[in-house]
Amino acid sequence: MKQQSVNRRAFLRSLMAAGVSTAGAVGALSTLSRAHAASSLAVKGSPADYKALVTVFLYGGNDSFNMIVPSDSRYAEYATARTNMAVPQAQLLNIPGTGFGLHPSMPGLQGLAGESRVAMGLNVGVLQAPTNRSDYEMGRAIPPQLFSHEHQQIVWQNARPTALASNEGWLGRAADLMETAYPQQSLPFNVSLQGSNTLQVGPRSVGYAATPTGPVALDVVEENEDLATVHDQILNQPYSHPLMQEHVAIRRRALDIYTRYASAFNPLPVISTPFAEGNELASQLQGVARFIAVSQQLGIQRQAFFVGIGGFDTHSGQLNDHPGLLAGLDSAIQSFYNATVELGMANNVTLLTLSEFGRTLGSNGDGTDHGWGGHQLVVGGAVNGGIYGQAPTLVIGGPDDADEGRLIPTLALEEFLAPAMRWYGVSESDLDVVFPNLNRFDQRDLGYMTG
Amino acid sequence: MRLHILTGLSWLGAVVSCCALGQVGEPLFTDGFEQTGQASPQASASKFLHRATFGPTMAEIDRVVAMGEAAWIDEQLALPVSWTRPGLAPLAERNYQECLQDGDLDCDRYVDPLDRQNIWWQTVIAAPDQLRHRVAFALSQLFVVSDRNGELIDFAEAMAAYYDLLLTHSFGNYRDLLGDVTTSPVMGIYLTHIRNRKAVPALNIRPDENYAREVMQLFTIGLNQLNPDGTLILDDAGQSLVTYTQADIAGMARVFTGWTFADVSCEDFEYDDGGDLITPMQACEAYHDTDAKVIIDGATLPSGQTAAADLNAALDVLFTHPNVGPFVSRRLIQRLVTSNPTPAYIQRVATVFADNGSGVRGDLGAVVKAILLDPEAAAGTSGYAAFGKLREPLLRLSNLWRTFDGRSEVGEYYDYQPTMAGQAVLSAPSVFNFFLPDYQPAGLRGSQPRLVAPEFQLASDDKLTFNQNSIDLNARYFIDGAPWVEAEDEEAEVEFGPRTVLLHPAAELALASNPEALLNRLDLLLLAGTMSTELRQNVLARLQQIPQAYPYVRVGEAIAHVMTSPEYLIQR
Repeated sequence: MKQQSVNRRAFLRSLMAAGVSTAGAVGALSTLSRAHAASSLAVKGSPADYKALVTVFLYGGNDSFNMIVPSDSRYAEYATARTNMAVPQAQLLNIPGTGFGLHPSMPGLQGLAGESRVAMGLNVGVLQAPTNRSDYEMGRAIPPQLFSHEHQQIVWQNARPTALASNEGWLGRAADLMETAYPQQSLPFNVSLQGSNTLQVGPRSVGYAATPTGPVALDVVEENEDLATVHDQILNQPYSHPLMQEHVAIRRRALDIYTRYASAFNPLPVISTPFAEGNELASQLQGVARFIAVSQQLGIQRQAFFVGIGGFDTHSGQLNDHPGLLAGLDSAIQSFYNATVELGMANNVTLLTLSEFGRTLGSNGDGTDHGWGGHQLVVGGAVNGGIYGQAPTLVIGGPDDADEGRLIPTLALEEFLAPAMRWYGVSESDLDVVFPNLNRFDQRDLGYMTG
Repeated sequence: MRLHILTGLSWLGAVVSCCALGQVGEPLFTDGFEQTGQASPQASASKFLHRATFGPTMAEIDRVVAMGEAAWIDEQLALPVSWTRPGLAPLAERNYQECLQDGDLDCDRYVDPLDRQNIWWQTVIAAPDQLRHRVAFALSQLFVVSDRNGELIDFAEAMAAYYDLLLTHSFGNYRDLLGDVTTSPVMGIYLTHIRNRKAVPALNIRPDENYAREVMQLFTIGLNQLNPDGTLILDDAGQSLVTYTQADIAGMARVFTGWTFADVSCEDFEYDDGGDLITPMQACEAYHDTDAKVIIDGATLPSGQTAAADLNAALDVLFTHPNVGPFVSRRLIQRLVTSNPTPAYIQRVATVFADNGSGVRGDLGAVVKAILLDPEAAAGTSGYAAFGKLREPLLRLSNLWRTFDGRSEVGEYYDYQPTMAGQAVLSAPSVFNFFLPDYQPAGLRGSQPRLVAPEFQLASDDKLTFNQNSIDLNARYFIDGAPWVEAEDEEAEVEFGPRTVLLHPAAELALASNPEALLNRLDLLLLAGTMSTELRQNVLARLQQIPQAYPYVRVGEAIAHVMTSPEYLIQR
């Protein structure tokens, strides 16, 4: 074996076995006792009281014009615009009654669409107000830094096109409102399986980040009481440096939340549904399924998850790479949906995709460049399947084209997201808090959620 | 050699249960490194070395004290380069031999990302040209390429060659660096301008805009027009001004057309069969757009130029843009010294970028020297309270291994888990690096709305906890000579083998019987003499609980508690 990195969990298990931990201690580790307190919480409510929203960020700008493709007479203009990037019409996986087909690498979603579990939001994007081609040419209300990954990733998460600040997102704002609506829920409303993000930061709340196998334990606190004491003493020192204060704040919060989750993840919650090996998104969504599995015993009623994968910036080799990316997405979503069925939670969980922009209709030879509007998916048992929004004209230089086949969105991000957030539990008036610009657009309810 | 951990740990269990809490009788610290006014010369040298190296050693501190910081930098600038790519060849041979020994019939001489990282660790821990490597590491987070890209993951040697390219120019000229990065096939793959071709209007094909955009946004001028001190230029309405438009990107995209692998015939330009990822790309003029091009600020490249002439002219325009100095200076200051340099600091460094004193623009050696010797760097938190930065995960581990002589018997460094740590050299999640220069953790919004702290983007609950665990475990248990390392047992779950990286803290072990002296030493080495009274008291009380007969426990815990403390984590 070439690599001999030490298996840390095994190492710590051996520590426990060696009696280094709490054996003989009068007062058990404060963290462990709190964990037991959490596990003994009365189970509040039935599955009907639980709803989870799962956001899947496709970093890089998914070429969704090849994910959802017109399969009827409009295919011809698609093929003309996309030239060597076009998916052959005969390969499309048709979705009856919609005039659209899915990319051939997405059979799972085709099956779910056949059960009316997939809503497709067409040509969704960042807008300051309804915008047409003449507005674009005149420079009227054009969001800043369109086509820049870094900034459009932020705007998709903060839903405030003119504020490029990365420190507040729409799930964070929703979480703060949820705290009022669900005061008995003490665990975070927002959980990330993909590290730091903008989306889940609220004016007051901050999301919690975990791994697919759950919250990460702080070993020094688990190992023995004396070490835990030193750790606490050092954290409790006075700190005046703002970065030290912030580090301490994160550590306290991380430890506190870990402690309350710990027993629910020991042993690891069982999800029998298979998830593909080596599929990063599938692994993250398997982790989400585990969190959902333990939500009832922890008294959680509302939870929003953040997962995501990169690789969608297909400037080059798109015909080689993009099918695999979509296949991975398809497999991960299919497994995740099946897991929610396994848990009896299919109607309580809604998954939707986000991506910072669509791509140019035109080709750069063997790929596509940064666009603007793009299609998105919503999947779940409570979804009313079908096509939502207005199908854009897929013509370079056509009425929906800003420039070089970058499509002006015909559905604002806020219009696309509002129904999912209403379903999640955000009140009609609070929707305008979560999405400050929602009232600039026509569609408050596209109708893709049944509940 | 198969060593047992349980013996040592049961033994350790006896240690930690032996003492009641709070039996601390000895007087607290009698040291010379307290924060009483002026820092000692050794403390200043340690602070300097935390920025300029991958971790101070006592010997290096003494050298800096003896020769002075400026002379130490000059010496570093003149040292021969410790390259990383040559170290891969023996590993390729070893992998081949191991494959053969395994009885495989289909073996080749491959190296993988962990082999490359192993060489990087060996080099940054032991090489004398520390400053060059520290700057190259900073540049690797500016000119980002990553083996998390599917087309690069299998080409560790090419990735090492790219890192060596950064080493070549760490103290060279920014324009040369920009040129070599632009024609690097690794960058060509990563930002997809390799095999980028002129437009074919009939097929709706236009040039790839990827490199055109990012070379401006990330490598040279950024999105907004800057004053010489890095602050935004605002119009009368208080709005910032963009540096380029989408039309400029389209013009720039046409510049970067006509480049392919050095070993591929231009006749095969359109066939994507890979090629030489180490030799600079070659130009194929038939695929280069030779029409006139308007790039930024109305600069025009005339028609009929070769691919190389267009590329060089465009890079010249970018290099001479007034944004580059403040843009690059701020990023390098953030990587080496502090997250929130004052505009005055940025301007002083940018001034050196503009002219090194001999009329040369873009002299990185002079820029690095200006960054490290700036009075703001010297003043630290006595200049402003928020001075400093969160240490990157890689730099924490390098500090541990360098300062306490971490090495394996065979000299290898594979004991690192980049996925959970969130960081490995040339392995960022995207061209936007591991963290953004303007990232602000949520807790700073209310109290410190103007502060940024990029490295906190890696301090999500999961990664922060993992990285705390990583330092803690390595510091407390992976010590050469410790009883639990030396004990032998066939049943052991954990092996301390010849490839396990172990600390060799000889000087610290010699002080184990004197916790105050041990802490004084760690204060100097790890905290540059800034250890707070409270941290000293807390760690000292803990060390005094541990019987003197257990020096490895004392030393391991002392290092672990200090290196996981907030005051260590925020490098000042």
